[in-house]
Parts: sequence; C-alpha cells; structure tokens
Amino acid sequence: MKKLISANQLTKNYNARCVVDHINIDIKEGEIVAIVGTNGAGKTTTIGMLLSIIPQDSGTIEYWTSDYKKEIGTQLQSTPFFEGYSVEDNVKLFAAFYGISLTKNEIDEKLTAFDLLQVKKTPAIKLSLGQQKRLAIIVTTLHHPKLVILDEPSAGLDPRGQRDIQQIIKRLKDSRVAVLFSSHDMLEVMNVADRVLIMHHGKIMANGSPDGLMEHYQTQNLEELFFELTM
Amino acid sequence: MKTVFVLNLKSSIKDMYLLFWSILMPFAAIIALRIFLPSYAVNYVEGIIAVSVFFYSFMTTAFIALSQRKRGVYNLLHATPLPLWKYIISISSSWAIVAIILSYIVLLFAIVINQLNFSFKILLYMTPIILIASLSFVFFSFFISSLVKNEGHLSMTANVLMIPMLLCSNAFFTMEKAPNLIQYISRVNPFEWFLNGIKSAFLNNFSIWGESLLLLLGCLAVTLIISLKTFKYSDQ
Repeated sequence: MKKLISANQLTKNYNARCVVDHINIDIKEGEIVAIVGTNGAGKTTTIGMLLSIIPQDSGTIEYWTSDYKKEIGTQLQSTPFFEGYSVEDNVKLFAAFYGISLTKNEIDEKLTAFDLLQVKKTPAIKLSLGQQKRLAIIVTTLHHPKLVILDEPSAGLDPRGQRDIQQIIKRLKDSRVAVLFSSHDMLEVMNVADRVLIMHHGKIMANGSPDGLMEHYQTQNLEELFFELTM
Repeated sequence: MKTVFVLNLKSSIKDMYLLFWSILMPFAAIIALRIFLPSYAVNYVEGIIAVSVFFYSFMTTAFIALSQRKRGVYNLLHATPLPLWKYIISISSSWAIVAIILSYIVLLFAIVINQLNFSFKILLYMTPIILIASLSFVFFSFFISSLVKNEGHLSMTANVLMIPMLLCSNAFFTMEKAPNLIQYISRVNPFEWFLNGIKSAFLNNFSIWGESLLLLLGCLAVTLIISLKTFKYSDQ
C-alpha cells in the first residue's frame, strides 16, 4: 500500500516541556490508524503537526502529494464552527474553503445521510454535541479526501453516538479513505482500527494491529495492554 | 471567495452588535443633537457617520475575529487549502459593504431628521472613502484581535487606540485651537483622513477628497500587510 504520510523524528516542546518526543508515524492508503493515550500524551499535538497547523520543532513530514491540504479532511477535538452561521451555511463555507460549490440538493443529501436535515437552518454552534460531531464529519469529507484525520471523534458522546461514529469510520474505510483518529475508547479502537499507536508522555510505546499487539505483549485485551504500557 | 463573501455578508447583517453600535447609537446621537443643539446638528452629520463606520469596522469585527479564533475555527481554516489572504479579503470586503450600507442608513436618517439637502454626488464621493477606510479599519482590527488574549483585553486595547483617534480629530471638536502636538497627531491620524474624505464629499472639495483617498489607500496597503503578517490562527 502507498504511504500517504511519513513522519520521522517529530518533536514538539512547549516551553521546557517535551510533548512529542522523536516519534515516527506512517499512514498508508485505505488503512485505519488509531492513536490512543492518556490526556496530555501528545495525541492532539501530533495530529496538529500532521495537519501543519502546529509547527514541529524538529523532524520531517512527507506527504504523498504537494497539494495535501486539498486531499486531507480534518475534524478537530473542539469541533469548531463559524458563529452566526447555520448548519447549511457552515457546510457551504467549508466547501468553499476547499474550492467546491455545492448545490442545495447536494447539501440536503449530505445532511440527510447524517440525520441533520431537520436542523439545517439552526446555528451550528447550537447543535447538540452528537450533532456537532456528525456535522464535523460532513465538513471533513465534503471534498472527497484520501485521508481523514479525526481528533477524538466520539469523545463525550452517548453509546448510540459512539456507534454512529464507528459506522462512519467503517464507511470511510469501505470507500478506500484512510483514517487517522485519536481515542480513549479501547473498544472503539478494537472495533474499527487496523493499526494502533499507543502514546505515553510524547513517545510511541507500541505500534501494530490490535491482535498483533495483544499477542506480542501476551495480554487479554487492548485495555490491559494500554495500562501495562502507560503505567 | 464569492461564497465566503456572500455568507459573511448574510451573517453580518443579522448581527446584534451591528444594530446597536452602528445604527441605534448614531440615530440616538442625531435625535439628541436635533433636540438639544439644533443649530449645530447639521455640522455633526459627517462626524456621526464616520464614528459609526469606525466603530463597526474596528470594534465589532475585532470581537468577531477574536471569538472565531477562540472557538478554534481559524485552526480548522488553517488545515484547509484556502490561502489566508483570500479569506481575509473576502470577509473584510463583506464587512466593508455592511459599513457602506450603514453609512447610507445613518445619512438617510440625518437627512430626514435635519431636513438636509441631498445630492447623489455626496453618495458617489462618500462611497469609495468609506470602502477604503472601513477595509483599513477591518484589517487593523484583525491585528488588534491577534494581539489580545480575551474580550477584556480587546475592549481595553481597542479603547486605548480608538479614543485618541476620535479625540485627535475634527469629529466633535475643532483642532484649530488645539495644542501643536494634538494638531500634529491629527494630521497623521487615519480617522481624521477618513473624516476629511467624508466632509469633502459633502462640501464638493475634490482636492481634499483626493488627498484623503490617497492617504487612506496607503493606510489600506499597510494594514493589509500587518493583518496578514500577524494573523493568529490559535492561542497555542
């Protein structure tokens, strides 16, 4: 499989504190990669560096294309939307950022697929958390990206919302879209990820398929492995 | 760029800050002057229009820019392929259009209340001055919003800059009898250039109008560069 992103020796310090410490990450075409780690492990900073929104202090990132921003979909942890804009207008606006013009029918189709049609005139910032996460994923996939990066897509959601997000990630995989997502939920990771990166104090402690890692470390489940590696 | 411009225009028109600061306040000032200082009321129309545009272009947009940054929207914008200059120019242009509409509303109200003579020539000459000045103030408001961390800081910083600009101008007091230092400040004050541009549109004084336009164009170029160079996507 072709590599979409190859990051080598990425490092980030905030003041004197090293939050990402010489890590290497590869993301291949069509694979689902999960980053797991405790709060403050460096997941969001790593994602920020891969998206070029946080500059790394050292290390390199190679993308499969020079126009990579056109080919990557992004959902940030805070799921921000433009204040004063309705759901529909936020979709139009983000489409414009990617140079796409959507018709009314196309917007309605996307909103219907994510069960948001009934709130299309509602200000996006007034949606429930689950609705905001779904809207964020619409915005993330508007431009048919080859890679989608999701920062804690299911954080704060109820079990139904979490299941919806897992299904969306699986649908992306079926469409041969690579997904990198961060999560605290080991069951979710087990259900959807092809590969897991376990981060702790800015370092990658383990990198492999969930089954492969459990076999290698002789643990019963991913959670046990996580606790073992992040003690 | 067109979609960003249209959507921002639509959202700006619905903004309550706009209604309060830039329409109701000037209306109140026009009515108050008409009641309490009827002989001076006409002299202050240009000043009221200039202040209304200045407040909207500077204060309201600075708060919106800060709020969007604090929500993390600019971080998301950063991850998209849209160049920053396109974003800033698109949304600033829509805010400038709102500023022009505001000035027309305030002018119309002043004409009705004070029974002024009106000529379309005034609008013709006033419009480019307001467009260039409001764009400059919006670009500058991006710079100010990038300097501060929260709404409290923004409010203080904006006041520290805006009040001297207003006071060192001929908007409400004449500068003729002011100390030399204040007169010098007023000559390098972009708000005074803006005010002179509007006054000259009312008085059909084309040499002052042209001079003001040129000075404001220079200001526009400088503030655009500053806003692009200092734009802050996030607080990190």
